[in-house]
Amino acid sequence: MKYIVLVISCILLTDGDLREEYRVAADKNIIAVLGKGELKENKSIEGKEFYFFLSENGNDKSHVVFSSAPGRYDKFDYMIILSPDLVIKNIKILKYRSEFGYEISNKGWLRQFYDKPGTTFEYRKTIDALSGATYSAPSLVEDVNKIISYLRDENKQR
Amino acid sequence: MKKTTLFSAIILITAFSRLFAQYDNEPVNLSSSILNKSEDKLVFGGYGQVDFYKPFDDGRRMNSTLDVTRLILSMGYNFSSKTSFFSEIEFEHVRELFIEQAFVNHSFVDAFNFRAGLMLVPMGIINEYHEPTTFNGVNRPSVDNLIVPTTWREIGIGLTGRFLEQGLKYQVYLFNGFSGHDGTKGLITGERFLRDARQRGARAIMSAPDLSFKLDFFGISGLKLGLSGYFGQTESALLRNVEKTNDLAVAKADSSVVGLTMAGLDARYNIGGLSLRGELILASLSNTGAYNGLTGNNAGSQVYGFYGEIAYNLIRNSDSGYGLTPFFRYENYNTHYKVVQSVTKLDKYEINEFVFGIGCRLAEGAALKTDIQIAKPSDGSSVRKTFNAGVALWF
Repeated sequence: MKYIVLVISCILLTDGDLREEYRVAADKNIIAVLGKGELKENKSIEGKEFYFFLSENGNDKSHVVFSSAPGRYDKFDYMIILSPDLVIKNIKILKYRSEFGYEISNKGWLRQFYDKPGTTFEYRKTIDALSGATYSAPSLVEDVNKIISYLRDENKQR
Repeated sequence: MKKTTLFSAIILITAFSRLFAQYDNEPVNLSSSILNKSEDKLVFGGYGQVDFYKPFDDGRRMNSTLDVTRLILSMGYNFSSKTSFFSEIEFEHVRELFIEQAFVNHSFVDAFNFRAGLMLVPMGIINEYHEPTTFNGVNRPSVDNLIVPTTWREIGIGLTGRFLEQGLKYQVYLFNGFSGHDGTKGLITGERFLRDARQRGARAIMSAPDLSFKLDFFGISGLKLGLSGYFGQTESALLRNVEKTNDLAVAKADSSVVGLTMAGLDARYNIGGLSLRGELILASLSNTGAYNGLTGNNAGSQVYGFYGEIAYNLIRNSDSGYGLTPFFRYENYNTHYKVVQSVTKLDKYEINEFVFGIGCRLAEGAALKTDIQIAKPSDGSSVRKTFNAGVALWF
């Protein structure tokens, strides 16, 4: 019985769990951006996993979100770190599968999203077009906007 | 013990609630379950261009041409998260059918993938990224048509990988080579260089594979740099059943083979509405003295091509989603940069080309293009002027 429970719980914990899949790389990134602390599960919508980050001194309550967005022939996985007032502090592409569009992992290009409070990002307008990433770059912009809007709605409800 | 039981019960309840939750959704029929499955496994796409070409000359009347230049259907299948297949089936000029890519990729880790099948030779920009919405102008740059014989694809095996943090990508392949001789005539010429020598994976002949590599750097925002190399020998149908003791036949077969070395540098840069790109390709053929002597052809021994292009999207700040991008490209290429003594060097093979036009993006992946192409051969012979217009698609 115990074994069955264990197997089922393993399936539940690992199924589609982006956080679990990229734990090592993600934790390293979180420490680099926010310092030490822990993640507390918030919610999961459309395969996007929302977490609160609780810093060791308990002051910080940033958001860490894991998401997948469509590339040209396959989805890619990424994580995004936002301050409590929903300003983007970091985006990291965790896995890029397709042959096209991997250029979105460029740190300098991703920096265009950072520290812009209250912005709805627009590809080509506020975010520069990217050679070779004609599909994945606008797809990432759209997905980031979606995440911000979910979090904004949540903040309003409080 | 009680705690364990309680814990087990909670997990079981969670498990069943999740399992049953599936049935709370709308009823699942067969087609929607296949569609859901295909979303994960089977991927379709395509690209194409339909074009109008109007040559113009002050002293002559000339016909225009209307052509479905190409229509490609691409299909991929993900066998697992690590193993995938990708293919492109191409119709050129409506009637000609080709397979442009058909290969399997197995990813051990991001930095180490194995692939095998019919693949694109990574050389310059356009051979790998040849979808019409990714370049300016109706036609692909001439350097990427004549010097790099786009779409250059052969059967091979290789390794490729990406280091996303460092912004590096590498590709190394063993490919089958060009066919320099089809048994009756030589296929490499001064005028068309290697274009007619592509085997395209169709009952291709081979004596030994060639080496191909490309390194790409994308670690600086908006910039992409590429360095490509290709080293090998052409194949020859004259090598069929040649007795090793038959000196004459061996010498003839050897004369039908040339060595090919090609190197390429390419750069692309985007900032704001501005985009710049450039490419330089150098190629060297060995044994062209014997080859031209045997075939009567006039293949050059050194060949080069380069171009530089500037484009600016005028309405990037509008909310319409449209793009309006005028561009200018200068190309210079020469298939007779150097020739062996027995060949007469023809200046008409050095061409200066000017292309200027405008592209109108209707949506991401759909564009209307129009341009004027002026090609000036260096021998002073008549300048070729063409007005081009076309529809470009990629989805």
